[in-house]
Parts: sequence; C-alpha cells; structure tokens
Amino acid sequence: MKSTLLAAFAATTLSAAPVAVSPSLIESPQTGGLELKSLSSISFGPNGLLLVAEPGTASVVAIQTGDVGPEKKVLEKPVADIGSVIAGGLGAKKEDITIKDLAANPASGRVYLAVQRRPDNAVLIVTVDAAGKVAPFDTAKLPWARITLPGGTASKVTNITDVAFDGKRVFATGTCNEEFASRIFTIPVPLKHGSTANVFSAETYHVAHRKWETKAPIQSFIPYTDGDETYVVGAFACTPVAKFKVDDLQSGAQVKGVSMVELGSGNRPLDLFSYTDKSGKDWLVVHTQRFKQNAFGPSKMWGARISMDYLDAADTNEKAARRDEKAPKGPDGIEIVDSLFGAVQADKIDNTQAIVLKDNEGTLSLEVAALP
Amino acid sequence: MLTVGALTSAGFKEVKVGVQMAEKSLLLLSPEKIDAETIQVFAKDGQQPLFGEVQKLLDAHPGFIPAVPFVRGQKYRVEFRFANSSRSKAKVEVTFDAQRAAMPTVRLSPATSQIPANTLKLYLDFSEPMEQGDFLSRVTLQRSNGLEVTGAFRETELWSPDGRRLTLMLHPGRQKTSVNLNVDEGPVLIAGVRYNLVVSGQWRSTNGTPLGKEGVFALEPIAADHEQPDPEKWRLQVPRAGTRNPLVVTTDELFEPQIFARAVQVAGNPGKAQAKVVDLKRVEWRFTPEDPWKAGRHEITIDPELEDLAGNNLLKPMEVDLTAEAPKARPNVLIFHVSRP
Repeated sequence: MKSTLLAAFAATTLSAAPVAVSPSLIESPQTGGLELKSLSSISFGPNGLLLVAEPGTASVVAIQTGDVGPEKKVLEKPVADIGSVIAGGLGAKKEDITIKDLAANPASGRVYLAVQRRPDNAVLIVTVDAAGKVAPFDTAKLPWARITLPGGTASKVTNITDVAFDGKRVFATGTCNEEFASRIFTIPVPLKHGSTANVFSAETYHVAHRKWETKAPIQSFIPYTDGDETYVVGAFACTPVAKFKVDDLQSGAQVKGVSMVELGSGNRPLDLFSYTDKSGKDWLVVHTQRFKQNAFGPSKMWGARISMDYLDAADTNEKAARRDEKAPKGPDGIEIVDSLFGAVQADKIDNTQAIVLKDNEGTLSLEVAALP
Repeated sequence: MLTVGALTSAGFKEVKVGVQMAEKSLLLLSPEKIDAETIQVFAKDGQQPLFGEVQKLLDAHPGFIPAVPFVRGQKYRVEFRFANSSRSKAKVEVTFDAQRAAMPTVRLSPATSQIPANTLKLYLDFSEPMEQGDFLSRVTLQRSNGLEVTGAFRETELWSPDGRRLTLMLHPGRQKTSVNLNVDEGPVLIAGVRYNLVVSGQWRSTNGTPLGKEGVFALEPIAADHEQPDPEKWRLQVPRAGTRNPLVVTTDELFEPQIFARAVQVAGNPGKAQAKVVDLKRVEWRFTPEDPWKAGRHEITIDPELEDLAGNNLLKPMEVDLTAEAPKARPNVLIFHVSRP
C-alpha cells in the first residue's frame, strides 16, 4: 500500500501553512515550540480559538488553530472503539489512556479530544474529522499564548476544572488542594502571552436541612449574560447549579454563589452547555455521573436539561428547585435528555446536536447525540 | 542491525540499517545515503501505527518523530520501506533503553492514625512522580475486617505540580453534616471504628516502576472536629535574644504539616520552618531564623484560610449552624516577646 505517513499527515493535520492570527484574540503570540505539559479541560472560542487548561503549570494556553471551516462538517457516523484507535496512536494499551475532555469546534465541526497516557502522563490533543479520521493535533506552526494563573505553580490551585470564553474574556475555574474552596479566574482579551489573570475566591454554600451551611467546590461552568450582567453558572460537586455575578469585581474579591437548582444526591456534574431549542426556548444542559446506585435509565452517566428560566428564579439556595433523583421526570422545566445516557464526555455542536463520548462496558465510541 | 535492499547513489544494493531511538525521535542509520518511503512504528503487539511524522533528521537520515515521546523499557516494532525498493517492508523490533528507575515509596500525611471522623482531606506523598488518571482503582478505604468502604473518595484528582503529592478528598457529600449523601449513606468515617487506607502495589511511577507492595495506613478516627482553629490555644516556646535557637509552636489539634508550615510565618524574620506531627494529634512547628533573635516584640502571622483536616479555618467553621450565633474569625496574629539573655 503506497500511502506515506507524510501524505496522510498533510491531509489530516491542521498546520500545513502558518495561520493568520486574529489580532483581537491573541496579542503578540508565540509561534511554534508549544509543548503541553498537562491537560485537564479544553474548549473553543470563536474563529477556531482553542483554550487548553494546563494544570501542571497553572496556566491557560490559547491556540489559534486555523481550523475555521468555512464549511461546518459534523461527524457522519459513530467512531467505534475510539479508545483503541487513540491508544494505538500513543503506543499504549487501551486501559492506559484517559480522555480528559472533549470539545467541538463550532467553526468547523471537528472534534478535539484531550488525552493523557499512563504511566508517563504524556498528553496529546487529537482531532476527529467528519469522516471519523483520528489524527494528532499538530501545533508546530500555530500561534499561541500561555497565561499563568496568579501564584503560578506555587498557587494553591492544583486542578483547573474548566475553561471557557464568553466573547469578552476567558474564564477558568480551579480547585485548591490545601483549602476546600474554588477560584474563578478571568483573563482579559486580547490574550497576551506571559500575562496573568484576575482571581476571585468563589464560595457556594450548600444549605442542608435549612440549618447547616457548608462550602462546595466548582466542577464545571459556563459564562452567562443576562441583560448587562455577567454571571458564571457553575455545577458543583454536591450537585447544586449556582450562579456568581462577576461584573465589577476587583481581583482578589470573594464572590458568593446563589444555588438555583439541585440535581439530587449521588450525582457528579461533568459538563455544562447551553442551547436554544426549535421553539426558541433556552436550556442549560448538565451532563452528570451518578456514583450511587442507578435509580432510573440505562446508565449511571446521564444528562438533564434545565430551563434557563431557573437562572432568574426567585427561589434560591435552600428553596431552590430540587430534582428527585429517583424520579424519571420533573420538576417542571427539568428534563432528562435520553441521548446523553452513557456519555462520559459531552459538548454542544449546535442547537440541535451534541458530540458525546459514550462508554459501553469499557469500550468508548464517539457519537453525535440529538438535542431535544 | 539488519540488511535491506535500497536504492543508493551506487544503484540498488543491499545495505545495513540500524535503528537509534531517543525519547522524541527514531533514526534509521546506514553507511549509505538512503531515502525511506515509509516508516511506521508500532507498540510491540500493536496493530495501529503510532501518531508521528516521517522526517529527514540528523545528516539527512530518515527518521520518525512520535507525537508523544517513546516510553523507556517498551518494545516497539519498526516497519519501513525504502524508495524504489521492490522488496516488501522490512521489520525490526527494538526496545527503547530501560532507565534504571528508583522504586517509588508512599507515605500518608499527616503521619498519624488519629484523624477527626469528619476529615475532608488526606495526602499521599510519593518519592517519585506517579501515573495519573486512575487513582480510584489504586486507593481503597477498608474496614479492619477487609470490607471496602465504597464511594469513600471524591473523584477529583488533585496532584501537586511535581506529581508527587496527591490530595485525597474524602467524599464531602458524606462527610458534611446533613448534606444529601450524609443523610442517605452516612459518613465515610465513624469515630472509634478502625480502618485501613490501602494503596495498591500496582501503582506505577511515571517511569513505569510499580510501588511493588501495598501501602497500608491504619486510621482510627476520633470525634468529629467542628471548631475553628484557635491560635491562642497553641503553645509557644520562645528562644532568648542573641541566639538562633528555634521558636517552637505546638498546636492543640492536627493540621497537615506542609500546609501548616506554608501558612505560618514570623513577620519580618526570614528563616527556615519545619513542621511535623507529634503525639499523633498535634503539630510541632520549629522556626529557625537566619539572623539571631532580637530582643523585643515579635509577631507570628497565620493565613486565616489555614484549614484543619475537617476544613475549618480561622474565619469560620466548615459547617455553619444558621440557627446559632454567627461565627467570629479567630485572631491570625500571635505576639511573643524575646527577652535578653
């Protein structure tokens, strides 16, 4: 078979030619030489801007991928046993890789997966195109910038749980190893290599039995704008969905979240995204792992959509809407999304579909899931 | 070294080819100038080629750059064919040099069995950076009869930047009073019950060397701690002026010593601090100044966010009883006087 690796790479990687940088997103970028030391979360901004959380250096890395379409092509058919394909490409056994996160590039439809290999913890981002072809993401000629979070590696933040762009600034959330607390970071745009971020201490209180108030760490979030006000809407380890108002905050401030919805005990929220359905109604999708015995549905991995109306609800904290984890439905405006059963990772492609990594008894497949 | 057919400047001939590997490259070496048409590298029994690029490397030798470094000690199969060769692919098996890697060891911090029953965080300190991404299959909490406490840990991996310290978070939903899981399933730890924290001997360092034997750490939880740390209850042993003898602070409760040492300082006095667990349930912090002590008033400052094992800090307890009086912050400055000899 005469198909050289070089030819294969030219067809599948994204760095064949230097990429023009949108000056509005990265200022004075570095070109080439990017080595990612670690990976936790990845997400896309506009125009193919990839944001990578690099917890080992307490940094967010922004990469101008140049993957901007113009045509948007969505995965045509599921990629079966994608874990084996990726593991083979890394020279590892299937059980020795972890897919840390997944992100769909809204500009091209291409899917990016953040992968870590054991035992050496080497990391790689791989891409999956519409035909299901898996290829390493080659950053050799791409413009990039690394923004280190305040305190750097001496910071108490040892995991960056999520990263996102709201059109005006980049947000990241971190968990501390020394304190039972979360931090929210904001990085102004244009992103500037070597710059740092503003930091807020984020406390979300979980009120139990209307008597005990206690803290919970942030797991996943989306930026959310309501009129002129900007919020971070986060999902927390003990399942509240809470919002933090982040306008007008000075760096170093403490911000207290307001719980809007409770998803029920024994669930660990993994991913959040929002979308607008065909009728024009806005939804927040919370993709969740149930770590207790399964109470409903075919899998412990499940997702619910929550009406965005709840983000403006008058009843908050201990009065917040609460889902009964044993019930398949309700309350009003909180619905199970059937297509997310079995998903270990999920991200929105557009308002009608999401990309999901499904786990079927240890075998991973990449699939498109319809949004209701 | 193997012999393959190749088109050289002297025409088609048999040439000797060797394989040289480094972490981030593989070279095909030959006394002749050769052009590789394909080079594919597989894990020894792998069906799929490694991600990477074929490039001309050092002195125009054909080479392969893997997308992630080769792993020391692992066997690889290299398949290649030279330009204009009529032969089928040549195959050769190579082992990337195994590094003599130190065997990792593990310790529990704080080094004690007597932790409060509502402890939120424990720390595993390894002598080497360890593999990540699968810690829940490597650590179990067992009752002394060997039965596992299921769902004991929060599924969030928090590693120090050097990959040697793992923060082990006991499941907050179960450890916090009246939170949903605490009500449904009860706390992870019960005072007076004996447990073992068991670290699998299969856990590998990043060099691929396993711990080799299980790490077993006995835990005998004592009563839950819902109180804010109170520095005014700590005991001070103050040195004399003119000496560099250590200032010794002994706490009345347990903290993680490394975190304690970072959170406590003598204002305006550089020096070295060390902390360790004493009497199973206290921390002794010894501070040796760079310069001899000056007579007079000194201050110890404490980060108000310093948490004890149960997450109570100087500002407020981990759990606030909303029906009781609001908690008051504890003082985070301790004053001491150094007297003349």
